[in-house]
Amino acid sequence: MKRILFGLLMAALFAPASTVQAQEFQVVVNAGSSFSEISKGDLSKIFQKKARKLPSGEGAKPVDQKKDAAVREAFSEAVHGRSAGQIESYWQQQIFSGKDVPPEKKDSDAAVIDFVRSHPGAIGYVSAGASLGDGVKAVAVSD
Amino acid sequence: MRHKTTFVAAAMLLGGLIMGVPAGAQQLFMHGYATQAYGQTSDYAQVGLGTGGTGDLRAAAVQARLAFFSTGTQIVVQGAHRRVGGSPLATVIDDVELDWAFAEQRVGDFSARVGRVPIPKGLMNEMRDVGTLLPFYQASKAFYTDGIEAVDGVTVRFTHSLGAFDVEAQGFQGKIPIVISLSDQDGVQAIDVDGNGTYGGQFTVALPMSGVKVLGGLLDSDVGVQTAQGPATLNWKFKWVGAEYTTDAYYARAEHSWSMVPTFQRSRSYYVQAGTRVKGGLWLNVQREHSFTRVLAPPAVGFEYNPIGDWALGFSYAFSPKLVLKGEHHWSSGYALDQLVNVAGPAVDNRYFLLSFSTAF
Repeated sequence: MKRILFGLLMAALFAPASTVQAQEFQVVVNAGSSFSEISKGDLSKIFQKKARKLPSGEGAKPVDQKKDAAVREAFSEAVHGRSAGQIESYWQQQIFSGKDVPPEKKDSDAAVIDFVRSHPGAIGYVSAGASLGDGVKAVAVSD
Repeated sequence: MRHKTTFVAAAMLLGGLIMGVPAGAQQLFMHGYATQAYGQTSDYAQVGLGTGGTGDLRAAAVQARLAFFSTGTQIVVQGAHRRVGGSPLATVIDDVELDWAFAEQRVGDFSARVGRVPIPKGLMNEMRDVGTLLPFYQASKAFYTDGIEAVDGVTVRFTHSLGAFDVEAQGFQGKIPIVISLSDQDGVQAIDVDGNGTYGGQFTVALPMSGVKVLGGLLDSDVGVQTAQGPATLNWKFKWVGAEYTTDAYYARAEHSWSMVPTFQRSRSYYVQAGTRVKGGLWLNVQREHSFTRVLAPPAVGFEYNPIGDWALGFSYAFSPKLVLKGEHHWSSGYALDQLVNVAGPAVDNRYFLLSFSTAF
């Protein structure tokens, strides 16, 4: 019994972080987009508006979740490597240095999915269990 | 220093543009910040404070940004309200001023701005009054001198990712307002002058290590001044370097500048600040700032002194990233006071505290 518990503990400790994080959110794009995978680095740059194109070459339209959404904290930690609060501060710096404004925010997974469905080039993220429906597809996130 | 009429004209221009463009083709974004402070000094008037204490310290701004999606054009107008207590700066600051009013055009990694545009100078110049982003009430007085915040002219910006490095190059050209402090038998006065033919730039690199940024820049300006012999122009050269490392748990930031006005004075200044998150939104912050000046004008050629020497210890508590309470205590030893002191005498010791509350939207 002790061996089983030890094995379970080791498995939990050494499980790849990306597997755990991947279960917490899914990245979604308009079904018309021609790519199926995006790196964390590119995703981070798109959501910080440091990059303005998707891997397919389309102009990127990132859409964010509201600030207190649990999925936003998970996305922020996994993709930016920073807390959602730090990303809020980053956007304050961008706004008040006159450089840019943050991506549009939506109040729910359904609102993000609706936005992505109706905007070619849109990219967002929703809870892992969210139902996507037609016109929207999930893309894999690589390290 | 800045004109209300320009502010009104900029607001009308923005309003006209909003009315004239079909809905959906553009979007208006409104943002702003406000900080209110209270403080008191131990012995001498300094940074707007006196021994009696004052709450006449405030910084607020409202920013409107109109973005035209199809063309990559943006119009930005920011108006500000600032109170500086008993500081001599109060004579050159209006209650409501125009911070910025510019049009920006983006093409790929390039952008160009025309109008009254914020100047990139160091890590915090454009955000020097945004209390929610600063660990102390003010950005370092030694490094971020008054004025030199915006240029009436043109700026260009290029951003690009080179592998894991993010680079940003910015250049500017035009006229800048500069505030100079003068001491005479009547006390300390602030006057604003124009820096004509100003040009400069800044190069910033974000390193692959998350949260690490380094930068360097320079500025050259011909400052018009009034002397006993009549109007004169002084050439002013300024260069600076800086670095910061920020994480969720701590930060460290340092900047150093060198300034030279031939036949007048040469100076250098620096600040170092660091902080650690104690628990939740509570941070402990410490800062050292210092400046050195060597006089190059007769009759005091070669005279050296340290205008600013300041240690600060403080806390900040962020209820959220947009709601921050701060407390700080400063131990100052120097000559940069709001009242007349003898710079040939020993450095003047003074202490002051500030409590401030900041918000942003």
